[in-house]
Amino acid sequence: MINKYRSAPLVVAGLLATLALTACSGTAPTASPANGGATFTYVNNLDVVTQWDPAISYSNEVIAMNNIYEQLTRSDSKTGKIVPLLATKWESSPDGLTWTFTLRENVTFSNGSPMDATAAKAAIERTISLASGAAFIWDSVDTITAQDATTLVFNLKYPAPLDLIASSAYAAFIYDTQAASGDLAAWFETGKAAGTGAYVIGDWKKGTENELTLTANPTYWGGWDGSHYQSVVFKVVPQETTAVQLLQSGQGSFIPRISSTQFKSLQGAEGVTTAQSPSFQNMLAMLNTASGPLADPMLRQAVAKAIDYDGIITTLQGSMVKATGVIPEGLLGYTTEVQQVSNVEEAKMLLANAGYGPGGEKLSLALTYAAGDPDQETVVTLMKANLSAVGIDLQAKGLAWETQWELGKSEDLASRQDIFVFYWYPDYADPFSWFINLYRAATPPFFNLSYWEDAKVDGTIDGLQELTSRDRDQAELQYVELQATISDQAISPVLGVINYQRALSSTVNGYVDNPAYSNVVFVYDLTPTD
Amino acid sequence: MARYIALRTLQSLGVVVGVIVLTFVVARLIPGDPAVSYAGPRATMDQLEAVRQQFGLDQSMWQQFVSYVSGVVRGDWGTSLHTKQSVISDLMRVIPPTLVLVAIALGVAALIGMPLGIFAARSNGRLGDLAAKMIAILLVSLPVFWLAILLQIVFFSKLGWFPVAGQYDSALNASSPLYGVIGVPVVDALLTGNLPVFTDSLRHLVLPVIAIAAYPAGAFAMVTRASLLENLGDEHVRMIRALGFSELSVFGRFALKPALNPVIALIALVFAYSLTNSFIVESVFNWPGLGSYAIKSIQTLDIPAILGVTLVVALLYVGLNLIVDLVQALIDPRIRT
Repeated sequence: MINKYRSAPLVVAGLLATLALTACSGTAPTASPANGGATFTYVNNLDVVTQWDPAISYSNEVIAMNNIYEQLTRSDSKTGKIVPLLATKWESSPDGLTWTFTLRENVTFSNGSPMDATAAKAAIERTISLASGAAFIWDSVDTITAQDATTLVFNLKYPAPLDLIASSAYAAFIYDTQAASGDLAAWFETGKAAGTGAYVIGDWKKGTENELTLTANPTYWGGWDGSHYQSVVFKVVPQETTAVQLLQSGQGSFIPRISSTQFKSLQGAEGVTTAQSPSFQNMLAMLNTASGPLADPMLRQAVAKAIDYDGIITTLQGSMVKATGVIPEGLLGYTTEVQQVSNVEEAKMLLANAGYGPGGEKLSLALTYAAGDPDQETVVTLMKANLSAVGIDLQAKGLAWETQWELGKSEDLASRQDIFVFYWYPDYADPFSWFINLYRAATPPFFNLSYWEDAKVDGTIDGLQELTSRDRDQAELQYVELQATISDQAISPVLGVINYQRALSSTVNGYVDNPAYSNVVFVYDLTPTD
Repeated sequence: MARYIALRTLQSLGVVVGVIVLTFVVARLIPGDPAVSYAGPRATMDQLEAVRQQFGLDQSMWQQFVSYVSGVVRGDWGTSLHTKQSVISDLMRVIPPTLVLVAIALGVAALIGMPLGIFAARSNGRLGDLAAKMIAILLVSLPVFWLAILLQIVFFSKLGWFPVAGQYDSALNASSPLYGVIGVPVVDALLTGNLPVFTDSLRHLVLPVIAIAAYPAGAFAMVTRASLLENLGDEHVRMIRALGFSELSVFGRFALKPALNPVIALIALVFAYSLTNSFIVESVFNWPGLGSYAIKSIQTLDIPAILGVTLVVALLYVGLNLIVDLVQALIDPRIRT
């Protein structure tokens, strides 16, 4: 008689072995490149699509939308200039209030409808009327006229660099407003698109690993001569280690952001190329100029001089580069004349003059930053040590962004932080965004979380857009001057500029980073290795 | 028995109501503006105000609670701020993959753990017992995050035996398109007779199942062993032996059955633990389940989604405990009194 209990482990082992053999009998993971010459796999750590409407879209889906839709112009990272896209040329009137764009001929939307001035006008007007997402970029526009099939005229309320604005990664897409027979917004929500871009939506499975697949738009005006990727897969992989393994096995083509440690380990790895370049995104420490100890400019100067900017960059091992001034390199107004210099002795002297430090009062400051961001956590830890070295006790609180922001905007001045650490980046390749949002006085405060009020500076900021559209050289000087003022008054030490560290399959050719389109890969411009 | 069922069901409902109230209050007490999560970090004041009005965030706490509870009862659990979809539809999408993963993992854990525990009890005091205990302790000690990554490195990167992540190879969509039934590829493939996707999805299941099954397998082994040994020492077992029953009958009929009681009770506990572990495992293996959804909801301060996840987990946990209690009552009538 079989001893059922003695044989039980053997039975279990047999069952497991059967299961394993069944599973193992499938196809082994492929070692061949994911593109096979045809498919580009973008490995993203977050869900891709939160909004399909190109008028409202203002989030992660930018990486897909910029392959489905196009703008009138594009910011070229190689030259730093605005180049033609759906518009072939443009000009502005001497007073900067009228912009005339000539549209590219023989361009159709993916549904076959012609992309002409009437369609472009309708798209932009709809975006403006919905007033959501980044629609505020069109605030300067008064009226739009389709003079003829290829001539689009913008009349502005005030001068603004419309060629730049029209290149924005958000809210500047040209789409077919007649694509749906009914409610266009609802039509978009179902995962439909009507753009002029090189790719169209192939498949969208929200919440799954291979969330989105784009396929080549056969009617794309750029044509398909030569070697191009025929499809783009957006794969959602939250874990970096998993993403790297996919890349190394050939099942991924591109990882937009990897940690410095992984970046170093992948350099020289077989089948992988690494790329890094500074972004337009910087990390700032907004010092409270309105209340608390830092309302004293001397103390703000002390804090600014106590921070070890070089030490921060060294510690972050490549994920940030040093900043000079508020405006990152590559944008109008970038300057090396405004230097942030650490000087511990001078910081101590300034503190002593203000009555703090050895023999004086103890200075304690409250700092808030975004919890869960490893770079911010590292920087804040370093700042704590730097300020402690000069006798300042830094109380740092990591909070969810929504909480941090709400605290910063609080009407109760006593509950506001002394130092607000966060990132800023522009919506299009222009530095105006920093100044209008972070430094122009606003009541109640929105993003001006230094609560700085300076009427002269406000006046200068208000005239920047007009100046940029009329006289870029003069605008550049103005930006440099503003940055010098901000530095002199120690409004917001710039802790560093984010350095994008990316990993690509070595089968991907032609990749050029474009910080104006954060994390976007223009897949059509790439060439797969055969 | 009917009275016992009614009483336990009422108690369970009370627990669920308590969880809803507590979670709602705690979520609302967290400082921060959920409207920012929905409208985006650069939203204007007008846009934020519009979102607050749209979701009733400008109402008083009591009004929001009443709206929430009445919505829950009606089946309207609100709109997720980060997916922009209804929470119910999000949960309907993410629950099945997690339940399938955890259920299979618990099944595998029981298949490994209980025989291991029985073997240990039978080998009590000998080398076999020591070896079994060591294996069980190792299984409960392994941190699940570390185990998950280790499995990927060994079985994917080095050996190439199993896929690194996901539910199945999407390349199969071209040759063997999968028709969705419940939204879990391994089940859908089985129900629709899609063998290529079924075998491939089984391969994709192996590593995440092992990662989740490790702890409960060890726990089952230890509890089975302890419970068996306790029963083997009982008077009734000594009497059965004295009456001349075979060792097989003593072990199988008279010691094992009562020893299962604590093991069955353990199922509810390890289910909750496995559900929590699945949050981490899903993240590592790209499993689009409740855990991944919960993590994203917390990261984005998506209060409707957080409430929805909490309510679902509470319902699952309370429901499972209820089933376990009823099964135990069925097995052991003493529990009903």
